[in-house]
Amino acid sequence: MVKVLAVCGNGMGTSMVIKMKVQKVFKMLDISAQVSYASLEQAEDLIEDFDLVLASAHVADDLNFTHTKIISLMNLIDENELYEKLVGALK
Amino acid sequence: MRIKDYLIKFNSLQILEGASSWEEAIQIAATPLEDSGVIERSYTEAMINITKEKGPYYILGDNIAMPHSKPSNGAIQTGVSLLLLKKAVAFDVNGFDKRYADIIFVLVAKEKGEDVQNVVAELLNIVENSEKVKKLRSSTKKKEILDLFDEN
Repeated sequence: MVKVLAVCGNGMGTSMVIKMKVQKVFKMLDISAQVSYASLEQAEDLIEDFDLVLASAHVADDLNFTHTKIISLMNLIDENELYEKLVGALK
Repeated sequence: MRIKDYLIKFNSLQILEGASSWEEAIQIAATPLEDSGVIERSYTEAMINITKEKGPYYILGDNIAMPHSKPSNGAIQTGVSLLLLKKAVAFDVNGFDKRYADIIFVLVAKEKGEDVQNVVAELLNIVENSEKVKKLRSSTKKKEILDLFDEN
């Protein structure tokens, strides 16, 4: 089970959008995943428990964690971008 | 509550020709929410400020914007407003790529929870449905627009 965290500045809104899109893509890939969402501040305490972190590009730069893969998203609803980046990260 | 219920309760659906700036567009979209006790003025200011700082990151692809801020920045209760502009407004924020939006949903969550998740899910459903988005852009009557939110 892949543990994923979606992060944005506010902890709701954008990260929720990412979470919903990610769940869709994981379903397409037939991979079981647990997706949570949080704000940047909340994320700093949580990050170590996740396999993958997705953040909208505007906060991705503020995240500095070395052992978790961070995917930065330019377009929040483009499933193609998400699909490619997820597949790339899961290799 | 569904999006349509919020739009009716807070009288927050507006259809206008255009706006002279993105700041004005956000203010216009937020005003019915301020007037209905959904947000304080500070929430509107927070949305404008974050846009200046980080760019209009909340524009979801196809010129649909979902500005929002943290509950602690002046959210009084959960709510939504929708501003439809016949002519898209430019979000040309210094230092960021110029974007446009003609569909602006202001999202307010009182706290992280089911209400807001349902609203976002509903919003995504609409946004991903090109037929509905087309109708959002072509309708001129509030009733037609509200009805679009019915079948989901």
